[in-house]
Formats: sequence, structure tokens, C-alpha cells
Amino acid sequence: MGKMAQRIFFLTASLLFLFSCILSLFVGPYEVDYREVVRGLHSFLAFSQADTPGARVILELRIPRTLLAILAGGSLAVGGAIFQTVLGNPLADPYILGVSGGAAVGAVISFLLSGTLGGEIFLPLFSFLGATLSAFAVFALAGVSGKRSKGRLILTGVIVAAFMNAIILLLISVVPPGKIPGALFWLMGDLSTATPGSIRLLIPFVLLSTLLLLFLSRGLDVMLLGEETAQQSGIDVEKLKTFLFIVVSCLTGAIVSISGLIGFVGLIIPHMVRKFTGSLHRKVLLGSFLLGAAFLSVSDVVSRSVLSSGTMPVGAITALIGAPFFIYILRRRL
Amino acid sequence: MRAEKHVVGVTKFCNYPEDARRIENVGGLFDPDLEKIISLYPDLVIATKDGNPWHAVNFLENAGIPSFVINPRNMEGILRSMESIACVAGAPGDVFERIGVLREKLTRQNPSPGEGEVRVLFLVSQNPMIAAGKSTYIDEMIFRVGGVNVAGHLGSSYPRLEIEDVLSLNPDIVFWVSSMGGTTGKGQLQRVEDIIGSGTIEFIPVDSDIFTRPGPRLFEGMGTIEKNIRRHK
Repeated sequence: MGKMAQRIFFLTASLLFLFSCILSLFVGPYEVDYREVVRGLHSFLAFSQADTPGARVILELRIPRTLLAILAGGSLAVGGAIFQTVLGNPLADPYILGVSGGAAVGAVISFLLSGTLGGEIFLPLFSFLGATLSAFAVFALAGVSGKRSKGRLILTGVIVAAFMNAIILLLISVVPPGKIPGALFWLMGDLSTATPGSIRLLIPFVLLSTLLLLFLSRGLDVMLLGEETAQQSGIDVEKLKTFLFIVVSCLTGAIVSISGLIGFVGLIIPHMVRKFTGSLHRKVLLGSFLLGAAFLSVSDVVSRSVLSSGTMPVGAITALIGAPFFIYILRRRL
Repeated sequence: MRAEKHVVGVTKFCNYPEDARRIENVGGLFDPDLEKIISLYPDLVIATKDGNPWHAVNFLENAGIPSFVINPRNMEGILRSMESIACVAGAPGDVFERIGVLREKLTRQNPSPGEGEVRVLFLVSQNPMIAAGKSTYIDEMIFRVGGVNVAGHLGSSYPRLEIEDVLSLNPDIVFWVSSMGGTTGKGQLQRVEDIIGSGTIEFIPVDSDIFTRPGPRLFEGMGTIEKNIRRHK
């Protein structure tokens, strides 16, 4: 891929990113004009209160939602790109180490206990704990004499995910009927739960993790040549893999604890980006973040606008687009 | 209907009247325990078209247990279903009189929309927020007591709403069920109130069982909606 084509790709991805942000801020059932959007943005940046209902809609609903779409789409795509390289598998995504199953179990437990515990902090807290515990369990179970082969990691991830699914089914069968819809909608992804407070917590976490992953991109480039070659060139492959698994799993766990489970972003976006940028991870990760963020923002706008009778879960939109693409990859690459 | 001594099994959701909880449980609406039902040797099974799976009803029919399937679509349909069940259960005459009283009450309800109309949103679930839309009992109840169901024009009977949808529908009163949806407090409605300002919308918690189960208690529910709409006017 020539340098000019790469420049055009990054310019297009940046414009798409900007366009999706603006679209997400302006589109919604409550009518607001551009002055209220500006007032809402100003209040968010100044940590102040908005003075009109329209500006409060922007401040309290659309800015958190837009930022969550950006952070979730970008992080999931970056996580997918890294796992595809580290596991040497084109079908890997950030959930492959059982993060999604663990997060879902945590979320369903929080719905089950919500009447007892009260407070909305328990959903993100439990799903984050579930996600990270599940990922660490996979990582620990896949290890033999301190080493973890790619195949063993993937298989352990699949088995743990199946085990978590069984727990979810068991829990759903005992959850009182009124609590099931809430749990099911969360499982399909929901960006409407974002609040200015939760987003302000998430921003530094995502930025730091993404910068850290970008910093490690050179090691990932060498790993593309094979683990032995990477080892010979002075990289401690096991250490690097462990570190990447921890960072990506924590990042994904933090994202899904607020957004719910959103599939396919982490799977399809890195493949699209590599077609334009080649395999250098600095470019793949940056492109994946931009395009993943734009894809999820636009999917969210579609989920809010496509029905005259309310909102569709955003996970359904990403899956509707992602599933055919997944089949396409499967037929092209295997 | 004073036929309780004839009832040998109920679903796990049946909690009214209180004595229903003490009757043998035969599973859920969508997943009835067919083996349990057969083991109770019922002479008749009462089922609903929208709730119970048709294959379960067919199975029972093939096992020699007759079924009576009801399918009420509106308030009048609920009264007719009650009369039909009273007939097959052999209820005494005064039961039909009581149903007649409810019918009179229903026909007396004359909608009077127009000036001073009250815009009503009824949430049958709070997490996620799901409204009672067009062609639902609740839509009919709101119409009959002179309110305007702001979710009545949306594309489906039970649309899923988000906070911004609630704000754009601009209701005067929001009824929300307090015993369903996994939350005990106002939940997302608190965010609606924070954005629109306190006192702009009246939020009224109601018991979900009264409004979501097609039976005589719906008339009690209609009274609750009417009382609050009149007060708001």
C-alpha cells in the first residue's frame, strides 16, 4: 500500500470520525439547535451546569453517549487488532479470553440483586469484576509451566465462555420476570447508560491504555514474524503477551461495564484498516481507533433513528453489519 | 368467581387473590410444566392465545385434556373472557351480575379530549423503559378517561424508549410500574426530571400487577389513571 493511499485513508478515517461525532451530537428525538449544542459542549468542558433543557439534553445525554461510542468503538477495535496479532488468529476479538461472558454474568447478578442492593453503580462494578476475573481465569488456566500457547488460550477462552453462558442461562431462569428485559437489553449493548461522570472516569483510562498499547506497537510488529524470531531479537515474548492480555482485558472490561456487550466492532474494523495501512501496528491501532469509533457512533445514530417506535439495541445494528462481514472474512482467509 | 375450590394448578406468576399462591405451581406462561399439568388430572385447562405456546395446548388436547383458550384484545374483550370463564367454571349467577356492573362502569366512561387535555405516558417497564403504545389495554384506558397517550402514535404496541424519547414526547404525567424492571427507585426517570426540571412532569408509581394482567383489577387501574388525570386538570 503506497504512502499516498495511506494518507488518503487516514484523512478519510479522520473525517468520518469527525462527521460521526457531529452527527451523534445533532441527531436525536429531542429538538435542539446548534446554539444549545455549543452551550452543552461548553458546560461539559467547563464542568458547569447547562441552563436550558436543550443544553442539558446535550450535556447529560448526547455528549456522554457520543463519547462512549467513541471510546467503546475505538477501544474494542484496538483490542481486536492486538488479539488478532498476539493469538495469530484473524477471527480473534477482544472478547476471546472470556471477557464478554464474565461481564454478562456480573451484569445478570447485578440485575438479580438490584432490588436488594439498590444503586446503579453495581451494574458497571459487577460487570467489570466479572470481565476481568474471567480473563484472568482464562489466562491462569491456559498456562502450563509458565507458558501459554495460542491454541490453548483460544480453546480455554471458548470453554470459559461456554461455562459463563451456562451460568447466564441458569441465572436468567431464576431471575424474577420483571428483571429479565433489563438484563437482556444490557447483553445487546446500550450506550444510553453513559453519564457525564462515568465518561469522565473512562476517558483517562482509555487514553492511557491506548497510548500504552501504541507504545508497544513495535514489539507487536516483530511478533508478526513469529514468536521465535521475536524472542531472538531480544523481546521477552511471554512478558509482552502477558502485559498485552492484561491491558486489553482491563480496557475491554471497563468499556463493556458501561456500554454492555457490543459485538463485531473488534472483529471487523482491524481487518478493514489493515487493507489500507498494511501490518505496521502503529498505523493499524491508530486507524482502528478512528474507524471503530466512527463505526460505533454511526451504528448508534442508526439504532436511534431507524424505528419510529423507539430505539433498537446498538449491538443488534453492529451485528447486522458485522455478521455478513465475518462470513466474508471466513471465506476469504481460511 | 368463587370457583377457587375447583382450581388445581396455577402458573408461577399467579398471586391474586392471595390464596392463589398456595395452589400447585405448574410452571410459567411460556414454559408450562406439561407433565405436572397432566399429573393433576384437570378436567379443563384455561390458556391464553398470546401467552401460552400453541404446541403446549395441542399436547394437552392430544392427552385428552380439553383447553379453553381466551384472547382478549380490549377492555370489552376482557369482560367477555371473564363471562366465558364463568360459564365454563359453572359460576353462580351473582358473578355475572358483578361482571355486568363492570361493563356498565366501562360504558359510562366517555372520552372527552380537547381543551385541557392531559398528556400521559405509561411505562410498563422502567429498565429498559417500555411504554404502553397503541392497541393496548392501557392505551384504551387512558383514552376512555379523557387522557392522551403520548406513546399512542409510535410504531409498535410496546415501544422501547430512552430518556430523550420521554423528553420529546413531552408528557404531563408519567405512570411507572414500581415493582418491575430491576430497580426500586425512579432510576432513569430521575435523569428525566433532572434535565427537564423538578415539577414539570408528574411521576406516579403504580403496581404493575394491576395494569399488566387482563382481569377485573384493570378497572381499579383505570380508576387510578382517571383520578390522577382529573387532579392534573
